[in-house]
Amino acid sequence: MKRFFATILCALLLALPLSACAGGTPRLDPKNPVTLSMWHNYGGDMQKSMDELIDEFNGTIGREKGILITVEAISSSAELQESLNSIAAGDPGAPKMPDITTSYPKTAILFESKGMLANLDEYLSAEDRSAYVEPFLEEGRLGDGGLYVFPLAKSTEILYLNQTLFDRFAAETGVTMESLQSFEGIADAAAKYYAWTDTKTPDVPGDGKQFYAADSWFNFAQAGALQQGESLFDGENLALQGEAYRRIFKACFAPSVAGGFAIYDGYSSDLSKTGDLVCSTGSSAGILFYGDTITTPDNRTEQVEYSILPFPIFQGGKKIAIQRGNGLVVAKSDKRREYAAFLFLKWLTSPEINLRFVAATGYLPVTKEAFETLLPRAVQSAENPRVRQMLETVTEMQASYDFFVAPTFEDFDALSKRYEADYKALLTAEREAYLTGGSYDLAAREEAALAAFSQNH
Amino acid sequence: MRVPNIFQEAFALWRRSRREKTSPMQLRLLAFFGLFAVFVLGICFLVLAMLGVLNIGENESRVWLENESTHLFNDVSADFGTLSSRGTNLAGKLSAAADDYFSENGLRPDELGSHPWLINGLLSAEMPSLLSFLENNYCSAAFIVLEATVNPLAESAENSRAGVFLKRNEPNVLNAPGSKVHFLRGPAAVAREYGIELLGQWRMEFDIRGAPFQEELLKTARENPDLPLSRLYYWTDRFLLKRNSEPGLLLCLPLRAADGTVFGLCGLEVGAMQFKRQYSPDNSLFPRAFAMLSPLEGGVLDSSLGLIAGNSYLTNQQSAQRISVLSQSASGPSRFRWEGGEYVGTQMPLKLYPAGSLHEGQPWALAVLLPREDWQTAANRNNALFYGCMLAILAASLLLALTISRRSIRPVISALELIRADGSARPQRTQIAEIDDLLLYLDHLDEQRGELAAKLEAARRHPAEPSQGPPPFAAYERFTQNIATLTAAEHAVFNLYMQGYTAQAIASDLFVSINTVKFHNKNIYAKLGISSRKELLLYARMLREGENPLDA
Repeated sequence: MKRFFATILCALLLALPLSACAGGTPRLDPKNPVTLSMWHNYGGDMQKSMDELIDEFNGTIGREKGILITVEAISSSAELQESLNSIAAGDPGAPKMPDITTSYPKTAILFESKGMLANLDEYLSAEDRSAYVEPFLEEGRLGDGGLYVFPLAKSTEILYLNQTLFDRFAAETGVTMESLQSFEGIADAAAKYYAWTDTKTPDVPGDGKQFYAADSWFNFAQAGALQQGESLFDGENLALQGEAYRRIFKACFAPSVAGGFAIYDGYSSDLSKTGDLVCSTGSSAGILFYGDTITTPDNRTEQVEYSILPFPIFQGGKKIAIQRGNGLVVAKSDKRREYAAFLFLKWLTSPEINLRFVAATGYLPVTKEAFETLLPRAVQSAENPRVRQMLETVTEMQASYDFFVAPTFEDFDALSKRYEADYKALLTAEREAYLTGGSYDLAAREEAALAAFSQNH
Repeated sequence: MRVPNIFQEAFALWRRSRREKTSPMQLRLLAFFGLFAVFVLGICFLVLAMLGVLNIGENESRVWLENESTHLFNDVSADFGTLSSRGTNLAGKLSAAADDYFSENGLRPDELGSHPWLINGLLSAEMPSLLSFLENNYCSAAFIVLEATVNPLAESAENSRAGVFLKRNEPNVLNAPGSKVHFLRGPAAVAREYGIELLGQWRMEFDIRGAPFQEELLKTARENPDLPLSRLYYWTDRFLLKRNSEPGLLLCLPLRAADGTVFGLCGLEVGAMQFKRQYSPDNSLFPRAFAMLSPLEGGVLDSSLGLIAGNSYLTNQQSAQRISVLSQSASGPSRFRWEGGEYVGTQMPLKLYPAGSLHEGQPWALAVLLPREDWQTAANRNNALFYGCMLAILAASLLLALTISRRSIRPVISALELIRADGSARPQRTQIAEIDDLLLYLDHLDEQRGELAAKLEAARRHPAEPSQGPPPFAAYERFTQNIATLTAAEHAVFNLYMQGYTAQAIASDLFVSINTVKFHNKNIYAKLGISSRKELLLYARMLREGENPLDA
């Protein structure tokens, strides 16, 4: 009898470490489901796609395994980041961190440094790992090299062109589409557009319209520097003293002051909706925010067509564009919750599911199979013609462009925000000074502004 | 002693009692302790039954349902009441600001439609109140709709209304940094003036074709100029503004100028996501429970007209569910029926309008529901746990009874074994007074028999000497006479004793257990009128040597 009990005891003792070894796959109970809160930024027209996917997960795999995803907030990417920043900073009144949220690496690193994120490497097998596009996974590795930002969908920056407005303008001025391939060409076209629109109302001088805007002047500067073979950064600081940045600054200064470039504190799609802009550079994932009409202040609407063009380059520069797009982070919790969240992320990024999301929203998939094999098919099958056009352009860029990922360090977010705000403030002030009249020496002001701005950053 | 041995021993005792038709003391003790344990447990069971603890699963569920229903009802009732009250204040503020604007521009309120160029200015003037309202109230949107359009000559102008719909998509970060609002409707110029971004679904003006309640509300406000705003407000059914990303319930109030002109409406939205976030029942006990706020039409709750809150598959895959009461209980949960099955829960009427309101008669209800099978499962699971515990306690009690009975009888058995094996090895003390008394008594008997033997010996050697004390002849005579009454088995044992065998040697020689030998011993002693092995051996020796005290 003693031997019997000893055998049982030994078996139990052996089973304990074995079950600990299997700690990567905690047990889930369908009768006692894990409820995970989620924030995401797939709002507007994208919300339906994400809602449908979440419902599908909850009703199938989630139900089978015992996982329930409940969306608690949907907001714009920037606002979500602000809320997450307030959580990371421990601000009074900050909301409770959700179990899963979309986040850029620049924000995720704030959480990671405080040990608030789950390392998803613990759950990702070698086979799983090999299914994803390697640079997309690498982008999500922070701090200790662990995978903290799970890739969901990627995007790059492209040029949105209101073809209807441009054609009207081009027909009268002779400006060609080729001019939109470079930033210098865009600056030139912007000056001509402002003058052309100004002449439409001869009784109101100086009411020309803006031609171009960038959703992120910081991304514009990052890409511009790399196109010219330099970097915008020196370690974790900005390097604005080089020749490349001088060219970037000058490419924007004069058109912004003269009114051809819009300095707008929001997304350029807002200006596009009212016909106050002809083209803009922004995320390929913003495609659904550009409508198919423009609404004038007297509530008349006009049907317009958009063209999606590759990201412009500085003349003589290399074809380089940013690879962006946030990922999903999982709050550090018990293994059961982390594993449940991982299963959801894995399902969401499985090639077939990922591609459905991509085809409906304008993002790029993150698995090799979806990216290399299924994407060309998805381009053809995309229901929305604008999404199809965007995917075609991005696929074309994949073949001819190099892509870069913004660096990740703790102060990156603050640094980029400060740059963006100061840059817009500077150009707005200069524009106001220009409009005030008097003697405005553009060249002199440009040199002075560049020197001061470089000095302060 | 190991537990299995205890059971083996108990089983052996039971078999022996069956075989010998006797009741060993240990079995009696076991029965006593066992019955005592069962009795105590029975009493406990009765007491718990009287206290209602036996329905612990259902009781726990009832308490949960009562708590959730009460607190959710209180919350919804208070929050919607507060929103109604503050919405009334908002309408007052917006109307007053509009009066100022009309006055500044030398305009009569009813002339707004013919002065469309003043609309953006009016909306801009109303923005601070709308923004302040959103900042300070827990709602997902605030809006104002004017009875005017910026372009009366535009196509479909008769269905177009100027206004602003400010949408907030972050219900959980009220007043927190980043809790921004967006324009879903409204002039882009006003949005830019206040630095507010346009949503992807933005449109400049409202299309009133999808909002039939608007005309109705304005009409009733015009027909009842003396009614205060607090009696005119109206909560819509579940409503999805065209191109809005989520549905919600709208609180609508008329905008009434100082001269009584109704020039538009305003209000707020409680979005589906906000409702879900704010009023989902605790899902620790019932993951599929949900709350539903719905108008009651013919006693039927209709999810397509109300809002649902809950973290369940049911709510995520919300379909139009018409839920009616199947049976109502005043003291407990009611049963509800819908096309997919049955729910268990509560339904409480919710008062959304004050007395004297034009909409006072519209019944609303808040229900807290869960699938009936979940309710039953919880009740059974908890009861199974209770009965399992009771059984475990009973088993432990019986085991304890077995152990106690065994420990109690062990000194008696040990003493008997010693007595039977060899009287010379008798223990001095056993810590049990009765056993010690018995041993003393047996010692006393031994002494008496020793004396008797000595006397017999003396009589044999010195027959002339008169014997002292009573002669032992009668005992010896009974001994010799009763040998014939022994059974064959007893005779075999007796013969071996006669040959000088020990009990252990006899068991071995006859291929029986020591207990069997002891059993025969007992019978032999009884039949031959002796009380110990020592006495047996004395008479046996005398018999073997052919000695008769009478001969002496």
